[in-house]
This record gives sequence, structure tokens and C-alpha cells, in this order.
Amino acid sequence: MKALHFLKIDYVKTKQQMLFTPVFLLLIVIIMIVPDSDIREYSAVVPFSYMVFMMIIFSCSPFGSCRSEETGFLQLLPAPTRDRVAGRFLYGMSLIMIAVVLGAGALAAFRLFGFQSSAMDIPLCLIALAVGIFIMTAEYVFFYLFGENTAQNLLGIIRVLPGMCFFFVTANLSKEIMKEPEKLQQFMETVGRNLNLIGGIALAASLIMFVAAIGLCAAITDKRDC
Amino acid sequence: MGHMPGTRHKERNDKTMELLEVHNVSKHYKNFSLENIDFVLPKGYIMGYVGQNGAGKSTTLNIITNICKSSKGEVRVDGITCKEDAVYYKECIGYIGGDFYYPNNFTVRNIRGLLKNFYSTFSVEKFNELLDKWKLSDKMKVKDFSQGMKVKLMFAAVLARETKLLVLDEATNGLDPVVRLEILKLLQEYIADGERSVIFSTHILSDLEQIADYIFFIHEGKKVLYDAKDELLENYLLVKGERSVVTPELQKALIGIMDNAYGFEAILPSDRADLLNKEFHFEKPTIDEIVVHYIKDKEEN
Repeated sequence: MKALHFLKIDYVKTKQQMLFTPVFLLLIVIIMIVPDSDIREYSAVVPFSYMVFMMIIFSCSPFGSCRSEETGFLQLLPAPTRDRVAGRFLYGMSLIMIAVVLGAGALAAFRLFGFQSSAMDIPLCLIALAVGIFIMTAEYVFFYLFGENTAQNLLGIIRVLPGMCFFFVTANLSKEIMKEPEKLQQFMETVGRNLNLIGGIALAASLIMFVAAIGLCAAITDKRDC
Repeated sequence: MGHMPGTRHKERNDKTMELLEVHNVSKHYKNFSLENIDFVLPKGYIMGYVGQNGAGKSTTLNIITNICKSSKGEVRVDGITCKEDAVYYKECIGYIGGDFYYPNNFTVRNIRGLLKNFYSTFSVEKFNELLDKWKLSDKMKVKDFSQGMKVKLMFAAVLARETKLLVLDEATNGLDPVVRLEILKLLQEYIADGERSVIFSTHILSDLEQIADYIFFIHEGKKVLYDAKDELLENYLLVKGERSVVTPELQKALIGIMDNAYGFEAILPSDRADLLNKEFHFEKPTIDEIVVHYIKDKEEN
């Protein structure tokens, strides 16, 4: 299984970007600890979804930093196409896992500092994570579908738009929930009675999609010139 | 886990003398088509793959390395197609292009690690030896390397593992004569054991003159000439003379007539030498001259 070696290549290629990750975390920490900040109206889920949003953007970088000659070089390496594609997907997933660790740490810290929190934080985080994996997977499929080099022209839009939508939707959703938690809770009770289950199902669905997308993208890549 | 080129599929390989087989390969793009390219390269030989820019040289070499897929036809390296065993096929091939293909922010150390991870036959000792020989610093980022250093690094990466076929796509263009000579010597050493071969595209045809055993000349995606280099040089004459003494029959037989201050210059198939008389000067042409006159002929017709 050489997928991990391909994952390593992507990390070496994007290591400068990785150095910025703590800076983005620090940014949200600073914003959230500012006294009387409007952001205090949001829940402690915000840093979690923020980190996932940042990592969705970062996860597109190996596509963007790839010159056409480099694509050829990856193709020359003796490994099945599936491993090469899986390595790239694992790169995206590993970034999201970093976001989970950092975001969860920040969430815990904010709770300690007395931010609003509710029993729904964890299932909301699970849903945010599922949506994050879904967006990242969809972006990767897009890159492979249109060709890594062609899709680079649209990279700016592709990498920012879904992540941005994701961040604002989850942030505002959590704000609304904070305003009328009873109403949402009632709704949740009516719909599924268990947000944890919904979060779990969403996460499982996104992971199934993630695995299926690797197979799909490998098949696409096998038929196409780089 | 990769397999040692030369051990896997050994039984089959021993039976065949052809290392590279390209059979009726075609590739169609919007504005360009490569059509029915067909040749074989035996073990222990160097083939020069020549043509103008845009003739289809890189397309052919990219199909051989499986960087791009052919629309039709088949390529076998050591008897195996890439579809049959992609890992073995790719381990067999060492590719060096005119463009440096490692990511620019990689250091030599990164590249060594990468090669070690991917190639079962990669030798760290041999790689380090070549780095020392060519004075390539371990810690430098490759983006800070000169063109010559980049080419040497690509060669080090390829020569530090056990390949069977070297594919060079204008790898020596832009290099100074000293480095080029060094590389030509390396290529001759590479094929010395009679088990490995090189396919080499370049615009510097004098390089091919020195080392190529076979010449494949491609023009606008189609084969023009394909023969052993010595045969090719024997089969043509470079003819010079005054235009006024050219008979209609000779005019028909001459290829790529080019006028100059002293009259004309063209090539002629050796078997039509009977058409020449003492008014013409003729000599053995170089590969360069054969190619230039053929291109002239193709452009005019």
C-alpha cells in the first residue's frame, strides 16, 4: 500500500502551508476571547467549524501547487493509480482530522472560559465534520473529473466557496440554536429524537462517500491523461 | 511491495531480444494526431527519436512512460504492457525530461526519501555516490539548482536504481558541451551490459551521431524514417552542385533541394547514385543533414 507514501509527498509539497495552521487557530482564539465581542453570541462550536473550514481550503493545495510536469512525475512512480488517488484523499482526510483535534481542543477550552454550550455541541460537531468530509470529497471528485491541471484554473473558487458556505451556515445555525434552543430541541425531538444518531449517521454517510469517491477517481484517472 | 526488474517475468524476458516494442500507436488530439507509430528497440541499443518541435516526439515518449494513454496500439517494455503489471513496468523505466519534474520545494533529501519509498531497487549508496561525484548539495532546494544540476539530479535518481529502459525527452538540451559529453558517456555505460536500452529525443543531432544505433524520424505525427543509424548513413548521399546541370530524373530523385550561394544541396538515396556525374560533389551526410532535407521535402510537398 503506497498510498501513505503519496500522502507524504503531499505533506512535503505543502509544508509551508502547514506552518500557518497554528496561526489560524490563534486567530479564532483571539477573536473569541475579546470581551464584549459579537462572536460571543455564537456557541463554542464555532472554533470547531472554523478549523474544519480552514482545512477544507488547505486540502485543495496539492492540486494547486502541482505543475503539469509534476503530475507526470507522480504518474511515473511505480504504484497502482488507486494508491496515488487514495494518498491524495488521505491527505485531505488527515487535514480534517487535524482540524478535529485542534477544534475540539479549542471547544473544550472555550467551555472552560464560560462560553455558551449545550448538549447539542457534540452532535453539531459531528454534523459539521460530516459536512466537511462531504465538501472535501466533492471538491476532490471535481478536480479528478475535470483533470488536475484543468481544474487549477477554477481552483480559487472551488477551494474557497464550499468551505465558506459551510462555515457561515454552521456558525449561523449554531447562533440561531442559541437564541431558541427549546424550539430546535422540540424540532429535533419530532424529527429524530436523537441528534447524536443523526450526527453519527451523517458522519458514516460521509465516510462511505469518501471511500467510494477514491474508487471513482481512480477509475477516472486510469482513463485520462494527466 | 515492488519487484526487482529482471527477476519477475524473467522466463518471458529471456526469450525476447526486444526491450521496447511500440505497435501501431496512435493518439488523437484536437489539433494533432500521432499516427501508427511502430518500432522495436532491441536490448543493448540506443535509439534516437528525432523530429521538429510539435512532431510528436514527446507524445510518443509520454505514451511509452504511460504519462498519457494511446488512442490505439500497444507498448511493451521487457515484454510487459503497463496494463498487465503497472508496478513492474514503471520500475523498468527511467525517465528524464527537459523539464524538471520534482516539486520545486523539495530538497535532495526529500527526493532520496521518496525514491527509497517507491522503488524496490533504489540504492541510497549509489545515489549518494552520484551526488558527491556531481557536487549536488543534500540540503539545497531543487529550485535553487541550475539547469545542469537539475538534469544531473534526475540522472542520479534514475541511475541509482535498476532500470531497463531509459527514456530521455530532450534531456540534454540547454546543457553545456562538457556536461552533455559526460551524459553521453553515461548512456553508453548504461547499455554496456547488453540488457538495457535507451530511447533518446533531442534536437542536438550531433549527439545522436555519436551514440545512437537506431534513428526514428517523425514528422507531423507520422514516421518518416526508421533504420539503423549506420544503414541510414549508408543509404543516402549528400549531393552538391549547380542547379543548371540537374536532369529532370535527378530532380525527381533528390530529396529536399536547398539553394545556396554555390548552387544547391540535397540528399539522394544511395541506390540512385547512378544519376550523378562528375559535375556533382557528393559525400556521406550527417543525421542532421538527412533530417533537415527530409523536412524541407515534406514542407514542399
